[in-house]
Amino acid sequence: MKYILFFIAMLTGSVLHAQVLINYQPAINGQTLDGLSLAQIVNTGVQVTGSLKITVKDGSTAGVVSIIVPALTIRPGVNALNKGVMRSASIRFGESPAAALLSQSGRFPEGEYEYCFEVSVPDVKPSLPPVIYENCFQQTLQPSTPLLLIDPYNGAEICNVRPAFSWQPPMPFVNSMRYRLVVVPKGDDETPEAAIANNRPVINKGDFRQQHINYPTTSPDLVKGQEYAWQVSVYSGSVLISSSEIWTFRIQCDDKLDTLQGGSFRELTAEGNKNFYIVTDGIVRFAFTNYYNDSQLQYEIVDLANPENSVKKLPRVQMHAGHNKAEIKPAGLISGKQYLLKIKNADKQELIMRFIYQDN
Amino acid sequence: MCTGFLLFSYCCFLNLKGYSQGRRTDSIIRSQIDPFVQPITETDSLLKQIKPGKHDIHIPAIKRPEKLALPAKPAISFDKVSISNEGLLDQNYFAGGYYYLNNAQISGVATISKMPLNAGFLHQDLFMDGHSFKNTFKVSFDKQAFLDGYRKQLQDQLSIDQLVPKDSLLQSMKLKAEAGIRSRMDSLMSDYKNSLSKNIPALDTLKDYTNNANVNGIFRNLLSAAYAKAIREKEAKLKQLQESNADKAQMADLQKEIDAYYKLVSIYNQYRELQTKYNLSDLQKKLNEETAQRKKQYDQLMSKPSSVKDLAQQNLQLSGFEELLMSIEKLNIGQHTISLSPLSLYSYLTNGVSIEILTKKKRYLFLMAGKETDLNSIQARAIFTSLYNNDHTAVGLRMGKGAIADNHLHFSLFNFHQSKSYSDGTTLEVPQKNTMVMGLSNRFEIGASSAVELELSRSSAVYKDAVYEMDTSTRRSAFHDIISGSNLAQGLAADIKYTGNFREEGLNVMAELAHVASGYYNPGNPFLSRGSNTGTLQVKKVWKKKFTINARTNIRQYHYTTLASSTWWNFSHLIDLGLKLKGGQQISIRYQPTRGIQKSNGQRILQNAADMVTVNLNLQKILGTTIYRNNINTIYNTSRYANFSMLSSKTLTLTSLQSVTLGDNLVYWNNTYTYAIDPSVIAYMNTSFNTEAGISYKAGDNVSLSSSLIYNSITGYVKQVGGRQSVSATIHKKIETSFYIDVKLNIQESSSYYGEPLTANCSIKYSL
Repeated sequence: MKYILFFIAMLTGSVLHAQVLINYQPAINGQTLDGLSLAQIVNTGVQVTGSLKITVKDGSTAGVVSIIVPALTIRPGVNALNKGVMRSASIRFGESPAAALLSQSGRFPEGEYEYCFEVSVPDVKPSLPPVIYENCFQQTLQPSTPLLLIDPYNGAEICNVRPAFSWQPPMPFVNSMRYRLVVVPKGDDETPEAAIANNRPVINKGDFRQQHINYPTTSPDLVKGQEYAWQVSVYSGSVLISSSEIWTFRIQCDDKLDTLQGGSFRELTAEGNKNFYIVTDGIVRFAFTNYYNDSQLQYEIVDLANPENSVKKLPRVQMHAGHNKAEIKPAGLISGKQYLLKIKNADKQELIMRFIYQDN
Repeated sequence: MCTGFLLFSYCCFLNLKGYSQGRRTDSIIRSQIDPFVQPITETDSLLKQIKPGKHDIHIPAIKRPEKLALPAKPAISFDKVSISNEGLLDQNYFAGGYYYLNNAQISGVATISKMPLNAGFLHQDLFMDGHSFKNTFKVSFDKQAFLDGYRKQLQDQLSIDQLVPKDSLLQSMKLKAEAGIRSRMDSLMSDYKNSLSKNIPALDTLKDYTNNANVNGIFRNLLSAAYAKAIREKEAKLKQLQESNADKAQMADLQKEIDAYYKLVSIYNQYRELQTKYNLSDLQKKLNEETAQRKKQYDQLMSKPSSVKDLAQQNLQLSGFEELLMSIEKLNIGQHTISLSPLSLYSYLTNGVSIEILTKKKRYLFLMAGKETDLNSIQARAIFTSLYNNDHTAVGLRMGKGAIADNHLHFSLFNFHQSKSYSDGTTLEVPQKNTMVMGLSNRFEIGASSAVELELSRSSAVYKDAVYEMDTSTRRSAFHDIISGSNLAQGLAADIKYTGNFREEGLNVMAELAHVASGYYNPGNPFLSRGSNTGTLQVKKVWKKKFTINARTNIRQYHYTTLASSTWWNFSHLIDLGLKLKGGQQISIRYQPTRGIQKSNGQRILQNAADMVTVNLNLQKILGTTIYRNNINTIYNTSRYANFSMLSSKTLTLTSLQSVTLGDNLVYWNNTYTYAIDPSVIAYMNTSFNTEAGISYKAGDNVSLSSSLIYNSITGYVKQVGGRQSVSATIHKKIETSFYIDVKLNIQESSSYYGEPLTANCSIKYSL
């Protein structure tokens, strides 16, 4: 009976120290040196202070890197470590060829690795050696390729104020990966990077698993004429694995009815200005006042080199009461030639304008 | 490869073609002027001076006016100051529920000693499972506004003739034609005057007979239909008088008037023969084109910052401080983005100071010092820890000859120091790491339409307190590693890019090749992938401004191991055809295939594949006083994953965005229907339908509103009805405000549905 009680006391005594278990996701977190710190230490006992040693070896058991954290407080329950745990750590890069790439880029190259986490906790009796808890994880590491955006393409001008978004996923795809899409308005003097960092998002949605989504139903329509910046990130849990480049697109329809803002409009007069107005981009813009009712404008364009011939098949122009601004894109004009535009008002008043036609 | 070679050959051909075209046109004019231009040898000698290709018009070394004094300005002034506040309430996709983001901002322009500075301060609060905030400050030198002041002065004082002289050969041709025509016309008009004792109005004072449009116009006015009718009446009357043997004096007067008319007609006909003989139409056309080209060049000189800077330095009285400001291309303090070149700093958002200087002799210097944070947006910082820490402080320089956007040769050296990382809502200390990136960049132009950019870069990274078993030296430094050449191949990157813009042919070409070694690490470009080889080719062609073809291909190879047997490939292609129809309508069709492939030990494994076909039709029609518009979009999309069949999908999406303009109001009805051809097990990838009908209208001059009703359904997931309301208003011309809310009610939902019913945002802006 005494021996049984003693045995039970020994067991109970050891449970009172700490029972430490280490959890780690090497498929994602094992890709980078920083990611080695993103382990979880589960302590089923009392709070202890110990040391942590992280050792990574390659497939041929050559050492890649070892990290020793001299002092680590392990509270009861789940201890999620973060990068700060490495601040006082000592790092040693090993003789494996992977160590050279890791020390430069901070990322593990593709290959087989063993990640071992060893927590060393001093025994209650100082004379006894520390208690060591070790968990190792094998992983054939395939680093994620970058996430690439597809559509809307960088710099695109689109008509659809509720476009769909698509991107190319990283490889290899891991089941726990999720996507997050951010779309923000961007000012003309603003860079896409600053826009994503600072501006209030129009779309900020996540938890997608597919690489193509329709425009979210809760988000407002995009605004015509406005430029937007967008980016997709891939994450697992709270770990951001990578982010795509930041692309921009503009909601812009090449809409003839919306082009009255561009270019200046020459006022027609009865005598015409003796100087020639230079037409650019093949669009003739003119303005005049109609003091009568709405009607169709009567006008003609005459080639000054051949005055007998007037240009045929001119576009119809509807004239309103008051001041009118019109722009027409007549066919059949030759770049570099001089023409005379002659219109007749509703009261048959003739107004003219001389112009040199340029189609670009 | 073959396509790229053919394209390059075509581009070379286009560069050469420009040379031969100029020669052909000028020889046509020459052959038609020759018989009437004296002496012919003079014309020949003038024509021989034509250089092939375009007449390049350069700023001449002409005598400049005395330097002009500039008006005095106040030492400090403020402009365009505004204060704004925006709020957003949206679904928290990460942890459920909502989050609220508030942006309060003040911005404006401060001009200090003639130096305009754009300044802004942004304070952000985020309420998402707690509260976090972020402050952002930025000041930048507004070079464009600085030059605007000098631009106005230059435009007032420097005329087009002073800056862009006329083409001397064309002017000479014009003078020769003018001399030939004038001598003939003077003779005709002298004969007219002598016989009729009067001058021809307008023509006797005409200075330029080569402007046939003007001369034709004068003759049209002179020989008007009314005049012709009057002459016919006079002829009839003269005939009557002759028959009745009436007053001879009256008959003489009538005859004289009739003779004057026909003599004028004869002169006009002879002028038109001269017009044809001298081919005035072509000459005038050339002169008109030259006028338009000179005006265009003048406008370009006045708008391009580099030329305005040169002109201001040459023609205006500038103080020493102004000369210094002229040399500063960019000056930024606070948060700003730096993009120099892909292998130095690129898309680099930093918080610090940077300055870019370009001297009169085109010497270039760039200096910077700043801090970079990986997770820049407040929403990301509240949720995520970055797997890969890129937080650092940086200092560096870039120097050489030529501006970044022009021909240049630059050397750069940047040092990045890591010791901290922002993670889990706080800043943590991490092992210290020093990275140095050294680079060489060269850009040169081929002709006027093409340019090539080359860049080479080397990086080296060292952990300050780490031990390296393969290196027994007691002290390592990144700079020492770079210049020593150790691990050279592993730390090297190279990039070459060609761009061609052939305006007359409506053709744009871009080709780029890049290599980044597995051990290359450049914190200055957060999107540069190590261990990659990339090739990109893009061609865009426009025919008659109506038909557009855009083709693009991007191939990336990733190599993350020291072994050659395993590589990853990304293929992304695009072909886009667009056609502009009448009335501002257009149609386009696009095909975008993408593939992700792993090649390992001789095997080719498809990891993911997607194909997207998009047809877009933009219709509009004027119906009476209304305008009807419809944007119809059809997307067929298939995507598949090698190991996750449940994520594979095939969908057909039809979108129709219709609107009718009724005066100031807009009635719209938007529909999006997605048909899942192969429904997946994931509910929200099933067939879905969304429809919204609403109206945008005004309430007074300063208030715009939009109201709509919505129905949304995803098969097997959720059915919702809801409404949307937005309001925008301007109050007292200084306050702009807007509000938006979207509310939905679930009428049917599955157990896996987790969306929130409400989204709202608001903003208010006050301009001082």
